[in-house]
Amino acid sequence: MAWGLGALGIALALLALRLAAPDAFLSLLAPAFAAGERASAWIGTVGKAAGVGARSLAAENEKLAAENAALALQNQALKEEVSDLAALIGTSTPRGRGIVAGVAARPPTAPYGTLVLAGGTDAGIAPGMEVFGAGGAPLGRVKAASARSSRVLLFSAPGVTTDAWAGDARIPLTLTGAGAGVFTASVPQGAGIALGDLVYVPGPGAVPLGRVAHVASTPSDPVAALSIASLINPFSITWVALYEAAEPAAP
Amino acid sequence: MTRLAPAALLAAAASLIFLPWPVSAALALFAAPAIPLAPLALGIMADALYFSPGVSLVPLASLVGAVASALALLLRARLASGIIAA
Repeated sequence: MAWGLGALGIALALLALRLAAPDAFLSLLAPAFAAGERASAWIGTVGKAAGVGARSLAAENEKLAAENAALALQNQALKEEVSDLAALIGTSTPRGRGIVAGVAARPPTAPYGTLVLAGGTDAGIAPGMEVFGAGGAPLGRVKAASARSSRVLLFSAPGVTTDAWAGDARIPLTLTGAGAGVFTASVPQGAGIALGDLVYVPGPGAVPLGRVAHVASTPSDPVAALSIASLINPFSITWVALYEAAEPAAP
Repeated sequence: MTRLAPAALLAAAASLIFLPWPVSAALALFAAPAIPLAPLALGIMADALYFSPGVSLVPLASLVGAVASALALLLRARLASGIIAA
């Protein structure tokens, strides 16, 4: 019982510190979070090396380099297309300056489908800001911010709903977070959504959020259940970019 | 199991930062029979680290920890009275 009472006392002391001085609390834990991140990265590297082998690594590296080159070209082509369209239409609202913040804790270490950022109101981060990962993929919104830390609720957190559309036909659907970077959605049978279709959310234009990973349907069922995987693995996010939430377009 | 419970409790506390939260939960449940307050303490620690009113409606880790601790205390009381009765 002494161990239990001691642990409870320490837990309540930590809670009191978090409530009274949240930034001192995070400053106290920052070295531990950093050590945890280094340990996770080391375990991942060792696991891969033990399981894969040098030859397979070289082949995988070559394949990834080729994919990277192809994506860079595609990206460039799309940039040109956007630039042409903006010039043609005459409306182009450049995005304001963003804020880059490091991630102190992420799933699955952090529960509730949240990210803990090592940056807060001192860096210009405020609740409501939109959070993006590498390549501009949307991740979530800032829900709480103190002077030197902030918490982001991921769109894929369990129970979070997000309006989106899928595929080239832009079929509207409502995504429900299922945790671990996965979303679920239901669409009418025969809606035309296929495996691999991109799912977009509103943003500056259409912002890709994920890809359809599984379509579960039976001929007698009026709806098809979709599983959508986020484009970014939430377990490996190390930094994010934050922007003010985009205002809705004028009618 | 009783002798390993303090080690499990300490490992669970450290794993809140270093390992996925299901590992912490499993270690807390492992320690619960010998240290009934362990799940509650670890739930409060997890919420002190990660909970924020905007991200979840209720501090789920603390609530689940409280339920697990209550069950562990009940189980311990039942076993103790069973041994005494025997």
